[in-house]
Amino acid sequence: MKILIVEDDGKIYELVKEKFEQWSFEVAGVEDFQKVMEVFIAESPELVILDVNLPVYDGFYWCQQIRTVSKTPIVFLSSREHPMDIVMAMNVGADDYIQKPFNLDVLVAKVQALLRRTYSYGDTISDVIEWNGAVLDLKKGSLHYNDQEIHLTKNEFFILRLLLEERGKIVSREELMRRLWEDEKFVSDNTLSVNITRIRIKLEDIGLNDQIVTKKGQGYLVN
Amino acid sequence: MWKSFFRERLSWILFVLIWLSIIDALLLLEYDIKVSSTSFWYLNLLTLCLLILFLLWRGIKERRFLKKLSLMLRNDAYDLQEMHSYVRTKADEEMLSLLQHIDRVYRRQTHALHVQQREQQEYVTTWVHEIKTPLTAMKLLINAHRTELYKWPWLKDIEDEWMKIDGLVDQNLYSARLQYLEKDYQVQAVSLSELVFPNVAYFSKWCIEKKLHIDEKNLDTLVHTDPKWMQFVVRQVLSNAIKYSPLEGKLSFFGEETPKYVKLFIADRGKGIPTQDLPRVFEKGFTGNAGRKTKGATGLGLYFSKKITDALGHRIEINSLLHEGTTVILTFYKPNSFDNLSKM
Repeated sequence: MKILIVEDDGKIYELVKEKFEQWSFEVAGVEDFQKVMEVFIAESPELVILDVNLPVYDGFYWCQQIRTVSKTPIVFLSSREHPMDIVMAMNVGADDYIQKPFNLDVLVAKVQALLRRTYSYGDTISDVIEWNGAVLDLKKGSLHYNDQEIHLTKNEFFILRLLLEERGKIVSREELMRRLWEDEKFVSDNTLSVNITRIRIKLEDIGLNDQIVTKKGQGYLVN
Repeated sequence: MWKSFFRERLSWILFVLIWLSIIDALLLLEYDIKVSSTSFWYLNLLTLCLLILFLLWRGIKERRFLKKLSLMLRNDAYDLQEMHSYVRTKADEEMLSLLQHIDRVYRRQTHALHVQQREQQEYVTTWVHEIKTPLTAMKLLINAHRTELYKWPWLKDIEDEWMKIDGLVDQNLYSARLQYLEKDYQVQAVSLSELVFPNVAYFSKWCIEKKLHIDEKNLDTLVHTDPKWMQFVVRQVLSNAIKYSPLEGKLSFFGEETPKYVKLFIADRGKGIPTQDLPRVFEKGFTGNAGRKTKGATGLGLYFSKKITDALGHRIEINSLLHEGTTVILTFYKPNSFDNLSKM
């Protein structure tokens, strides 16, 4: 799956690119902002992320141009937060609109949802995370291992998913809580501990012992 | 108006009267002139009657223009051009041309000010959008390294500062837009949780650091409002609530619905506001004692909130007990009951 990112701010482009590459997307960018259409046609991406404020022509213009030749899903990135801008974006044919400052996880989630809706799914997009022979199903929120399946609650799934995404890195408790809160799950410190314990018990039930390592004073680690 | 007319012509009236008395004296005292007393009184009465008629005629003629003018100027959207058809005398014409001159100067100045103000506002809006790009880049950089916070402990402080900048930038944008609020809003049905939760998520860092407990009830209730503006209001209220909450404090969000209105209660268990300060919290620039001790209290958050809620036809109130906590109540009137209110 290839994504074209049309963003003139180098830093933002780099960070977004890095994130999508982590999710094993192929990423293309634009260097000459007079030639967005040429790049689009040459790369033929499955999805386009378009900034609104661009040199030469704005994102609305390019969105219209792309729409004349293609139905590729387009996500706008913009600092303009006026409802009229959003209406305008939808009118020129955008599929989604994300406001700056945005959260990369939200962007990835929206892009994945869009891809899922647009292309027949499963075969092309990885909707699972593999991990030491176990498979976390991102759609169903369940974990499979050795023909066994365990169901996770929303919070448990969210925590396990985050730990797996950051595999090999220590994730602090604070970070886990923040991710939960940013997803509007306002859990307390205690609730987090309870959830971690429950995940460990569920993992042990299917034979995955000691997978979540506690690093004292630092956080949790999954290898 | 008649009074001022007579007062202004007093010297002329006196002149005629004195002139008449001189004639009378001549008639009575000069030996050579013999006039019967009937003729004498006839002359006096005639002169006086002519004087009064003359004054009335001039008065009506000269006052007509003034009367029209004052009537017209009472309306803010006056047009001096129309006054030309009411000009009766040379004096009227002179006055009108002077007034038109003043009017032109004044209009030119206000127009220049309007243009300047609009440019300023456009500049602020563009500026805010421009600065959101580096702010986004900065936020993404911070987030990219957040997981391994123990390696970069100072990142926390940078994020704090980032949040302050972001908040101030938002305040700037909304204050520039505030004067156009009457024309610039779109009402839709939103749940109270849509106003509250994104803001709690936005402040998650501060809430988690303070180990705040979030309590919520009845937030599925729908209200009719402009979500952008009201989210901004809730953000102002929430930032205060978090700022003044103690460690392990509690933030409560409650919805209450009656046939006439929906109320949103946002309560903290913070230090509260002294009773004597309560009436002034919505004043521009008022920070109170607590605010003065906290850096970054601009005294603008609640001032903007009040202006916005007023303009949208909602209501904002604050109840507070010192050392017990503060409750902010946002009241959203339901469409039909709001109609009734405005008819009253």
